[in-house]
Amino acid sequence: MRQRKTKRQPAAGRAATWVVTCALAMLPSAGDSTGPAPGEYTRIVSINLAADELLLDLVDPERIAALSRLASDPELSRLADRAAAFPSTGNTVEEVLRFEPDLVFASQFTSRNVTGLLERFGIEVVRLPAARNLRDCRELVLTVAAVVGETERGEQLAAEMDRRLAELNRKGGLGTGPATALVYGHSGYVQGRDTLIHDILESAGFRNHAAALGIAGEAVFPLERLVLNPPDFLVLLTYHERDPTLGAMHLRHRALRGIADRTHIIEIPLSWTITASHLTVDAAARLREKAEKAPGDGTEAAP
Amino acid sequence: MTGIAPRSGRPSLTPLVLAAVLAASAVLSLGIGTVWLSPWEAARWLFSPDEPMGIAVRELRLPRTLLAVVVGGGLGLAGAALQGYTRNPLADSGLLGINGGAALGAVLVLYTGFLTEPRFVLAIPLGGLAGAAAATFLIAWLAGRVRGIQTLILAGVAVSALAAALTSLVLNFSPNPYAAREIVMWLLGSVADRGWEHVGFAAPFMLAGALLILSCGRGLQALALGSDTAASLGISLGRLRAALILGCALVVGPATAAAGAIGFVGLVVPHVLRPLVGYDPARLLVASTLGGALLLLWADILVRLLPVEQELKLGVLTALLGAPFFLWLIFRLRRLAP
Repeated sequence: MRQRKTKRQPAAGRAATWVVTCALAMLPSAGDSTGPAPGEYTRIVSINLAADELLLDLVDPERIAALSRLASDPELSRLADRAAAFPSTGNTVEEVLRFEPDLVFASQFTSRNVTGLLERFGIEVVRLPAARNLRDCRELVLTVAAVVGETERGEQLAAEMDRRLAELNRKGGLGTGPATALVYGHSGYVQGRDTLIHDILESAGFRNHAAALGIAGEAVFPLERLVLNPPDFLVLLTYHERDPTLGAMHLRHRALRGIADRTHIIEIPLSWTITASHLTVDAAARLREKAEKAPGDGTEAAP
Repeated sequence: MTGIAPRSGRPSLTPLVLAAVLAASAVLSLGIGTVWLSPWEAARWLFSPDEPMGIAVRELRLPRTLLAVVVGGGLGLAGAALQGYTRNPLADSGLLGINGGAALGAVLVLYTGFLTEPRFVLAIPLGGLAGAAAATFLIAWLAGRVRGIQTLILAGVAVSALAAALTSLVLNFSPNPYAAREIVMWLLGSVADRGWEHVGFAAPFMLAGALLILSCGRGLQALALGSDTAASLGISLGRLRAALILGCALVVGPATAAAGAIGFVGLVVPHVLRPLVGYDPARLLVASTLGGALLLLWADILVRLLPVEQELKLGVLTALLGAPFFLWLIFRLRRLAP
């Protein structure tokens, strides 16, 4: 719930958060006025999945002291194999301090108690904001690159993102209409306007079904609404398929089988869309690929 | 109905009226949702299996309505039975920790892997059943040993707290981080987006439990005259207690497994209806079943009518209604106490 509120904060507020975050990141910490310059951080710790992915592609491995525990979980992380080679840490102060970091990447949602304490120990803390679109992802790449003094690599990654987005752009909308898609998560959660998923869908050439129905941010989409108004593509996020939950049961409802002939069901791993990094563009590209491979490419059902 | 004839001598209209209103409300409920339908339209869609509206009415609205009816009815019945057996107006399956026990049982099953096997779908209501049975047994055992209403309610608070703690513990061990968020939502109670499998796994157990409780009507009437009098009338108190424990577990366990923990229905409904059935604990059983079904069905209709984006949970609504009622009841009992 807290997350949803934050998602809905006005643009000005978001910009302010961004500015403050960046400004804080650039300031030397209070306890240590002669802290290392950007390129000199040698013991970087991340307790944020997005930063984990970015660090793996931005800095030399010897500068990474630890990555978050989530980074090596293949259900959540796209670079789990590579992350497994690094020590992993939880997000408590004690665990982080064990690695004697000089720079810690946290998220906007990390507890203030944690970041405040770390700062009191003279450690530089950067809180990364949640991305609401691919442009935010791109900015995130450049911010993290600047903090760790790898501007050049950051720009390369950003250019690669731009190239892939332009490629998708050239393909244009999927089918006529274009085809609508709804990303349907556990327990029926969907993402409307002003969400990363929205931008991923639009970049992939779909129209976000949830946004088209007036939903902004995250909301629960009742099955009945789905049955009466199905999208051309129903994208189910798979996650921990072997560890059952009530929410997953929701995705197996008989009513969903009833609309199987009117919608194409695509399954993608949750890890494709859960973090905002330079890899998020892949989600759009791979979704597009999957949709194009769908029989009859589903667009005949488009309005 | 079994049992001694109503004291007033004339047959009560209450169950008939309740049944008629319930039937009408159920039909109305089929028409309420994203798209509104008149009762005739809803009935017509019920027999159009392939149209989207037909799927919505048959696969979503009908099971939802039935579930609200059986769960509400079951909770009302269990409340009336518990109040009758303990001769205690504060008894309710939620307050006594039976709902909590059922939730723990269901959660244990849900998050230990049975769900991956579709053929084990019966494990969920059985888990709820086992949890409810354990909690009911504990409460009945305590009820036989302690004196006074307050002590029994306190025992219920303890059983509830224990069940809630163990439920959290199970969630801490779940490998799926989504489990905690889901279960918090689920514990608040809802019949939204349920399907026929929920009705299928809950209703048969609940029906068996309801029949068992209804067969205790005569025993409860006798018990109302005092346990010695009941024994002298040939009522076996041990058998009565066993039947009620099993009956309540059969009703509350699967109901909780299907719809989450919904409280206060069993507290409020028997109270409101008791004067209308001449304070007869046997007639109160049937009336409370119908009344509970009606209350929960209307709560679910209200939930669908409210213009909020995030669905209001049924348990929240019943608690908003029930908790002030409970407070009022406590104060009234204190005033009446010597």
